[in-house]
Amino acid sequence: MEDVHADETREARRLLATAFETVPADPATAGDGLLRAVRRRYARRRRTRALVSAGGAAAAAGTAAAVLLSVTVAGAPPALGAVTSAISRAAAESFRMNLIVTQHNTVPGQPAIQSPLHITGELDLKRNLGEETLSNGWRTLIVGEEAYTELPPRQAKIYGTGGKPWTEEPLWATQPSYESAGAQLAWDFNSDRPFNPQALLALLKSGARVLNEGSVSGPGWTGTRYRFTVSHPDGTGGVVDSITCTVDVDSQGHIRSLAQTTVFVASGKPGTAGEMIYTTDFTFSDFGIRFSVTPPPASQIAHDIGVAIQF
Amino acid sequence: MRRGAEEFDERFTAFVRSRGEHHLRMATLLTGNPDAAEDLVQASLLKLYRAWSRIDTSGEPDAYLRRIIVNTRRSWWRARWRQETPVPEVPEAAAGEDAAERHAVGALVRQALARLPRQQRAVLVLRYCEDLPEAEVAFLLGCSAGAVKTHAHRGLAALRESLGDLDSFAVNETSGPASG
Repeated sequence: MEDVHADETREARRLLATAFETVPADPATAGDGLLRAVRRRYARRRRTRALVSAGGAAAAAGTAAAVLLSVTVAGAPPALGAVTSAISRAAAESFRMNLIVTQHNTVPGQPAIQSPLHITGELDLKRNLGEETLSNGWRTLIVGEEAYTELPPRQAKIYGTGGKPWTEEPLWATQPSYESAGAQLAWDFNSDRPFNPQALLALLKSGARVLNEGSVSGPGWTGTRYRFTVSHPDGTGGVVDSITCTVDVDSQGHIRSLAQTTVFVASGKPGTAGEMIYTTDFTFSDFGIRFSVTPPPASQIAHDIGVAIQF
Repeated sequence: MRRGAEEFDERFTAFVRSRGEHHLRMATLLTGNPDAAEDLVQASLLKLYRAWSRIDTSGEPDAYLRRIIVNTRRSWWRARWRQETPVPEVPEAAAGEDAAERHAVGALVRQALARLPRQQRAVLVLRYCEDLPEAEVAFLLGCSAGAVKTHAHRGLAALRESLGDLDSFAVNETSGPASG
């Protein structure tokens, strides 16, 4: 019995050591690269805290919006200018959103995930407020720099929240943070604030060619449809084959829909080992809507759920 | 000395430089996704740094960081979806045949690990990769030592079944990722 146990332990150590040692090494993410990334997060958090403590969250968002709007529109091709303006505008005001995330997977051995996922709610990027309800029963509130998630009872039990329905996490910890706009956009659909105008604008600014696809209309609006594709975006390690965005802009200059299709290539070589395609379909409405979000009572928030590892 | 906004304590800097890659590798095994691992380790290091002045780091900062990594609750949404996204496959061109085969097996083991229930995966990584005693793994995961044994046994059985016949694969059994 001891021998069996010893053999099992040896085998486990051997397999795990091989898996560990052959993790592809990326100098950009280790050593000084890792330090730089942590420094950026540290500096960003300090800035956010300072602004919030001074009651300056709105001012900060306003500044960010001004920076966004400074993306050169004058002299840009009309299609690029229209899309840039509409996205910049959405960054500076509130709206209702409806989002459907779907996944299509042809990668051998990759499990299918729950799809589609529907998210409805309101976002105010200027005041950093948000409320999102998901079709799987989860709910997220964004208040300033905090994100609160309400878990359905079954999940709360699994994650060991001690009977409390809410969890709290700093928003910065729920948002991916990558140097490249392509990588940011590729993963953003997974964040608690999935609409990321900054990343979209950075991608546009990187030289995307925006095409005018003609007239389009929706309930109570008419406008123009635009499309752009970025192939093999920088900073995605060959995993992302392309990001295609279709943007509808109404005659008032508001963004009305944004459909983003991200094609991941499992092997880094198109056509060799299947693809995984994520599509996020946003629709926007009720621009300028006023709403408030109240954090859940402290007594309902579980702060230490380390027992459950959410890997 | 006053700490500048973007300067870190020298010992923290030295720690990240010397041990960051180790924890990135461990996090890759835990999450099954290099991008998620990178994000997890960055967030955990930030938490560690915020506590750096209050903890005794003359001994073993690794233990603190490991605990933070394990306890860091990731956004459910992101974690649920991101762990399913594809990652680059095995590098084709290694130094030689042995190295290529070793990398191929390593990738297979990581894929098989990624398919395990997360508690089994965590137990295998912490017990056999980080080489932690059963009691410490139980403490980290908030379960009993008996549960650790069970997860380890079942996890390894599932790994073995998933990997099939790897008998032709030979590795140096003395090598390993032990910290230090």
